[in-house]
Amino acid sequence: MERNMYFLEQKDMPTHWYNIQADLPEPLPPVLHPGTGKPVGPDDLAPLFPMELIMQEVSTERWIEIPEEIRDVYSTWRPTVLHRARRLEKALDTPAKIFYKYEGTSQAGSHKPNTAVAQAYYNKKEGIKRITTETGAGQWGSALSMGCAFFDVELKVFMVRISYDQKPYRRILMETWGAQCVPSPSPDTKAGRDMLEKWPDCPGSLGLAISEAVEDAVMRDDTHYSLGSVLNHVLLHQTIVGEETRKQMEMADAYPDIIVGCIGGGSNFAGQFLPWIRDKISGEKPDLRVVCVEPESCPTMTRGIYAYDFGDTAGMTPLLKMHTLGHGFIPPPIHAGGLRYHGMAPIICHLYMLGLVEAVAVHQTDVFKAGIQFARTEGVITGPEPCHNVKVAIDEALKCKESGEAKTILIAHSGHGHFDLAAYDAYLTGRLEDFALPEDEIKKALEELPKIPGQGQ
Amino acid sequence: MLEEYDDDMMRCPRVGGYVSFKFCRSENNMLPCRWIIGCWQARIDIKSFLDEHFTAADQERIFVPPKPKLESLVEMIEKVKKSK
Repeated sequence: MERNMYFLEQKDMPTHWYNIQADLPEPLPPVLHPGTGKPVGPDDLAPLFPMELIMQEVSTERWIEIPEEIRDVYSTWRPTVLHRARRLEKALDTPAKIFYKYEGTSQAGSHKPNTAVAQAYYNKKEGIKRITTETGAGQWGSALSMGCAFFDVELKVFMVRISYDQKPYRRILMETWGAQCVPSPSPDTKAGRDMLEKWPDCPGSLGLAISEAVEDAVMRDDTHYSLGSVLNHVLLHQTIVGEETRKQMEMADAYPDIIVGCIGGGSNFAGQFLPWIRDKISGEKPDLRVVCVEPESCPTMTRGIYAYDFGDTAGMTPLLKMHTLGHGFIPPPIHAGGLRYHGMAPIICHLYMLGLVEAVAVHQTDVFKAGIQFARTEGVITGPEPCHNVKVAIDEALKCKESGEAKTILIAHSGHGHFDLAAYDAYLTGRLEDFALPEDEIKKALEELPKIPGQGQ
Repeated sequence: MLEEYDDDMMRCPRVGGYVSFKFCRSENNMLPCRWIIGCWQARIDIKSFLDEHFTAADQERIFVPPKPKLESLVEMIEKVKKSK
């Protein structure tokens, strides 16, 4: 029997997270305080986060030890398995070797608990009794509920009311782990009460749920707020994924030629590729390709430019350096919510600008077609976001078939799609549409970028 | 008529479920969601709908893209502190 799975012994689970900020050829540009114009400092964030997380946000130490208490909890599902997708390889008739690191076996079904557990721990350690957060469809709320249950921290989740009403199973999941899940708008905060007064039947929004969670945390000394993506400390906690994969690839006597992952909040893909890209930065593996996948309908990296952009359409807020299509850009819909942002996570844009990662855009119907092929060969129903990675991995494997090269392809697979079956249904019943942004719209959006001396726009 | 498309349904990728057009035209503090053009342009003449029912100033407010996360969090903290 050929080997399809690579198990890492629990005693060999990584003991440190890897911090890319130590190895960046150039440091990240600072985030400025909207009021003072000065760089945001620890005191600005202290009402929301424990000091250890704030320090991790700005740390340039290469290795940050994973506390034993966190490793104990990680060991309830980690290390996750590295799979060799031999049945997919066979179906494609490719000489390429395809591996995927699957995070769908966590209790919450995704990579999110890697940071949820860590955040609950650091809050508990600082004496915080209670955490608040927001959730849309409920994936992050579920993961944090589990994390807080492990450390006996109270959790209040503000769930967008329309989701709260439509997805009782997500709410029940959170409540089973001991969290209090309330529909937003709620009567518990000023932001919620103001909205309910104006509109008693308001179905809520993500923006309002965030406002409620932050307000609740700032108003109480025993409470902090928690976020599941974008921030540096979140990406840091996810690097356990890539560190495990390095050991497992060694067991398979393989090293990836290509790593593929989708980019949105960036936490899963960054967690996988950051531990590898240090080999490229050091010059040890100059040919390693790191491929960020994005939707063709919102081609921020493949067709945008790296520039300073205003943070809002009115052009009133401070300039922020990010990869962008311009502040007037409005993307069309796709079925992977996390992939439709105006700008990408600054750390990923930074690496892209430095030429260390590349990007490719794909159509959403092709993405689901790939997801179906993966399900029918490997058996895994993949979430809409990691389906993007599967699509590009298949494309690369087919290129190998043409060239005869036996490249090694590694897929960052963030989790299953069991709660996203409606999107599969839309594909299977022909209700998904492709929309590629016309070149003239992109040109128009880019023309609106502010002119900054030396940017060469 | 503002309510013309209110019962039309669409899967919202942000909240991960089916929502009515009424939700999309009002979820942003009673203004349309900033993604409304992209989501609905294939099905209705959304640009004309917006021009008919929302002023240019409203549309400026509607299409404000999300700010960088840390910046928006600091802004929210300051706002809550002031109201304490």
